[in-house]
Amino acid sequence: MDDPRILQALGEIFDSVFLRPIALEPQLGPDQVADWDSVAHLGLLIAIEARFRFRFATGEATNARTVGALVDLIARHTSRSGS
Amino acid sequence: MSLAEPMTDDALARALATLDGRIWSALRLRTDAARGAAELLHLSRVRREARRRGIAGGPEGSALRLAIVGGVTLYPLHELTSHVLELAGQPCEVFTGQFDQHAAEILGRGELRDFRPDVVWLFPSPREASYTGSLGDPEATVRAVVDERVEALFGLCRAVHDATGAAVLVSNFAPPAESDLGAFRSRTPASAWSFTRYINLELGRRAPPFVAICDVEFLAASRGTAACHDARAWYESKQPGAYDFVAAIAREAAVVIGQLRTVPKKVLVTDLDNTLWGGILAEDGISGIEVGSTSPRAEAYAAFQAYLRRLAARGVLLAVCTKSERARALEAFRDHPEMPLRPEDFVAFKAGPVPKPEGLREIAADLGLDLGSMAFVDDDPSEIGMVREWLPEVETLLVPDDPAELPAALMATRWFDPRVLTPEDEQRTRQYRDEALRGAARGAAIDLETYRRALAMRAELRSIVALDAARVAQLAGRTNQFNATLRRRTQGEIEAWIARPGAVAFSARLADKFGDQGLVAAVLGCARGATLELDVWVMSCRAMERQLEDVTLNELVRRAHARGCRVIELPFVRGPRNHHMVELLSRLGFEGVIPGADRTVLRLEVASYRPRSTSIEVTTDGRPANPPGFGGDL
Repeated sequence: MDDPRILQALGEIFDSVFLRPIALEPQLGPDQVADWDSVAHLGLLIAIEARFRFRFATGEATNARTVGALVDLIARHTSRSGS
Repeated sequence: MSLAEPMTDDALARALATLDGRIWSALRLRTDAARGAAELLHLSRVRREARRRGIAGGPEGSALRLAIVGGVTLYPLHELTSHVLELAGQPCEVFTGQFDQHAAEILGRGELRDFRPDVVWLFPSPREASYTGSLGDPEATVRAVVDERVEALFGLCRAVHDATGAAVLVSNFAPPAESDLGAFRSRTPASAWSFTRYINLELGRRAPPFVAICDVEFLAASRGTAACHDARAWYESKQPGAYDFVAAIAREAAVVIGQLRTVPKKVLVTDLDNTLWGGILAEDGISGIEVGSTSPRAEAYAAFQAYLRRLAARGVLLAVCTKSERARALEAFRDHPEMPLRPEDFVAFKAGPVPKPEGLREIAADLGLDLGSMAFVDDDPSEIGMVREWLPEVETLLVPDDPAELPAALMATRWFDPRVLTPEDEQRTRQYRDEALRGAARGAAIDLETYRRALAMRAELRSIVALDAARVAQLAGRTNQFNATLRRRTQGEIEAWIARPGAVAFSARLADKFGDQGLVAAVLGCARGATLELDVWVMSCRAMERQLEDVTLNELVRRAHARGCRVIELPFVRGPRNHHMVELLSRLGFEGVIPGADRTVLRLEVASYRPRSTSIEVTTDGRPANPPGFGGDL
């Protein structure tokens, strides 16, 4: 939750998926954001994969249902690929 | 040349914030162009938000009640499908079944029946296309399983149709992407590969009339089975494939559902030049147009015509709407040795200087059909734009840059997908051709003047500079119809010409609200004493019937006057294609026309010329110059 580039890009993805500014915090999850349903979650995951150019492994992202968990996953993938 | 640029995401967000009604046409354009699931989902969210904020102008009309049930996860499929349907003008209310509960939902007396669906989409699980027997099973054994699966699916279709009256859409199965069994896969009907195709084939062949097929197999094959397959998406959430493939399936379903609720197009009206053949008939002549087997492009146009013949053979009516001269165009169809289409293949043939929207209206009236049953193909974005604007019920297709893509572009419109093929379909061309022959000529409701005004044309006249010489030489070299002197000048000669004392040399660019036609006319002359002698006066056929000749002559007279000339002399030379100019030049005020003469020097008195008024907004060397502004002092 400390890489500013990841946070900035993820913020843009959230804003675009929910069509309004979303203030990102590590604990933020479906319960705190109206419309964060399963279709929206899918939209987030597809957009993250496209934006950060990696692919979640099977089962990895389905339970990453907070901003903090998503950031950790993105950090792990992007540091692995070195980009 | 494109007709409209799609809005960016930022522009959509602004339109959403300012409740701008143009968001609806922007969403439609973007949705038509979007291919991936991510973009479609985003557009769908914007659409929902636009509805929530009450932005006016969205698709209206009674909602289609669509139930989606099946053995795969039905979201985001339902979201993508209802989005595409709504922006295609068919808003819908969607019932989404539970994963793998379709049999219970269909056979029970619960929510699905209470929903009263107009259409039920049954999306079976890919497991239903897997064969669990042995690879060595005899064909009869495999066939029995195929029968059983197909009958089970149609049994569900019949049950829901009987209970609700709904039309039923059934997805067939994507062929497997794995290469298991290698080349052996096609040697047995029991392999996953063969079995899937076997079931799909039988599903299509045995479908009862109330069942339509959502052809997932064809979609997967045309996109590549490997790209459509996504094991992760199945394990994680039982998706029928990769998300972009799911988006493609949603689009296909929207097309087929749309076809359940509309009648198919009946008539395809095409332009001729650069649509049915390459080149301009009036410029290049019958032997010069590209169609047949003499070049790659000629083959491409011939293939398009051959495809139109196949459309006609299954009952689509073909018609022509062209600015070309009727006799000559018909001659091309009759006499060109490699022309696939012949005059009798067309039920209507509108030729001449009539606006295309009016030509289409006349064709519809002659055939006794409504405009909504017509589709139109043309290579000119302005014509397409005007037809869209004036006759929104007519579907339009702009010819792609590469003629090799023409048949695929037309097929992709889905206008002429057969629903049910009848023997009458094959007789239809003759029947309607007779009808059209009986149809009386009707007065033009959209006259040329109105049409020209609506085009919002702008002409930019500029003195020719060295940089233009190559383009002017090309135009003079290529133009045969509107070419008064038939003198071909090289780039070098033009460069030398404009440097002469007394030179009068200008070109015209023409644009309208649909795009820029580029440099389309040029005049070269030279003042000798009180006489301005013309050397070149050419205009591209793309600019004909647009009054650009009037604008050009206004400018020519203005320049002659400014040089102190009293007379303009035009050494007219008659060639095989410019005979129409004789009449035109006489109408424009040139004297000395001798009908039939091959060479005549025509004269125009500057003092007696009255500037001709046109619908074109003119600038000359950057300044506005519409008449009568150029010289009350003539």
